[in-house]
Amino acid sequence: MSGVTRAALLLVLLVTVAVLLMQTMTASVSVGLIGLTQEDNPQWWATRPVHNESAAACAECHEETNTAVRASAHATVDCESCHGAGDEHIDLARSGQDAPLVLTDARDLCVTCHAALVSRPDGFPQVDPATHGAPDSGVTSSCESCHNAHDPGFPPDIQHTLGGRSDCLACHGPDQWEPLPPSHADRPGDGCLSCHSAKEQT
Amino acid sequence: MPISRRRFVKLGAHAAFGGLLVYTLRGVLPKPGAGTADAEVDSAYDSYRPEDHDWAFVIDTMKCIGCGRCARACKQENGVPWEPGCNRTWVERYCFTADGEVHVDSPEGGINGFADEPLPEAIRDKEITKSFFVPKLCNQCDNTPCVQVCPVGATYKTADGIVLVNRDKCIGCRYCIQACPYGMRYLLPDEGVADKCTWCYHRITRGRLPACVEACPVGARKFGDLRDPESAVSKILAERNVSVLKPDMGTKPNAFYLDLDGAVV
Repeated sequence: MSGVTRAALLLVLLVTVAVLLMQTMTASVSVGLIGLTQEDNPQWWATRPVHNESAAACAECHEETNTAVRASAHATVDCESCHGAGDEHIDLARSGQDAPLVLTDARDLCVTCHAALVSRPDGFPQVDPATHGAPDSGVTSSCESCHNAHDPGFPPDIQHTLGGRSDCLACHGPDQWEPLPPSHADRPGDGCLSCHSAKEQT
Repeated sequence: MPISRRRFVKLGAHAAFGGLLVYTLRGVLPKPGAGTADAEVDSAYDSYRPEDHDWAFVIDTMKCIGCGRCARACKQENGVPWEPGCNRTWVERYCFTADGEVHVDSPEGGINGFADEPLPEAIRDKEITKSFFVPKLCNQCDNTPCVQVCPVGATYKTADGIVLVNRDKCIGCRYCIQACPYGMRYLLPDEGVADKCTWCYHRITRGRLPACVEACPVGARKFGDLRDPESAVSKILAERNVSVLKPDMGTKPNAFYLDLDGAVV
């Protein structure tokens, strides 16, 4: 074999080794750098922090409330649906610190689900916020004064703390939630409480 | 000192072998930073096997009350910016009027519900013949236009079927935002990278439900594993008539709709 042939063979060998080396050592490194492999990324996504805890976490401290809610007409409503993500509140409470959880105006929250909208499914309990329980209807502007959001009942189990015929008719008037029976149509306007006693009077 | 040819080749071979050895070991040795992060969190993912799951979503349009608690919970859960246009999931309101028109709106993605505006301004004086809400979220398509168009391979589909974006690789070219027929992607204003619904990958890999499913007060959103024949989604797909959005796009969505009106796009 001549010197030239040997030199050529050696060159081919060296080039092959160099190419293979570059491919193994640099290619996969740079592919990872510019983004053609995704090895770690699903893990990055999977390890994002959880902010909405669960009713079970709330029940660690609020067992009684949670038990009532789960047995109520709001059984399928998660605590955080109304109260918002609870992670900060729960972290503070678990470490024994003061953990205020301010709920925004409950009336706004209630109407988010219960204001009458033509787009909502028929049969879902809805009221017109302009007339139902509004100040001029003789009741009050706060849903919670009649309804208990943690145990609303269906039909709503009203806390009967009201006195006087006009207040009764706010809910039991002809077009209201639970109208009086026809036999009551000609009864005097101020005498409900002479026959009926409110379930719970204050 | 002159070096002989034989010695040169021998040295080269040793160097090559040494290089390969170092390279191989690099993959075996623990990665820097691994195990130093939240150990509890990492162990949850370590025991998770993506290839054992086939996640699916079912949306019941006849149950949705348009309260928007899903869209709100999503923003809190995933740190989605509150500004309009940044939504991983939202609720649309469809209104059909007597003159045959279809009006669709979604004020702020529905995060405050629809009670402030019982009817869209444009059709307030018209007779409404039919109306309902449609929650939207990523369909995690099997045939993904968004993944196909990404020029840098920053977005991809996991073994359990979720389409994710690698924020370290995304160059913010917005190609995927254009490509998605469902408008599911948006650009994170501060980071300048594409973002999208992950079906709460950090929750489902820990055995939890997506935040929107948990937040829905009426069970209009259902989520589960098609590998589990007893899961709610498996049963619905086996027993009921479901449809997908824009089936003629051929994207093969994994989010299915119950009682979907033909006018919904």
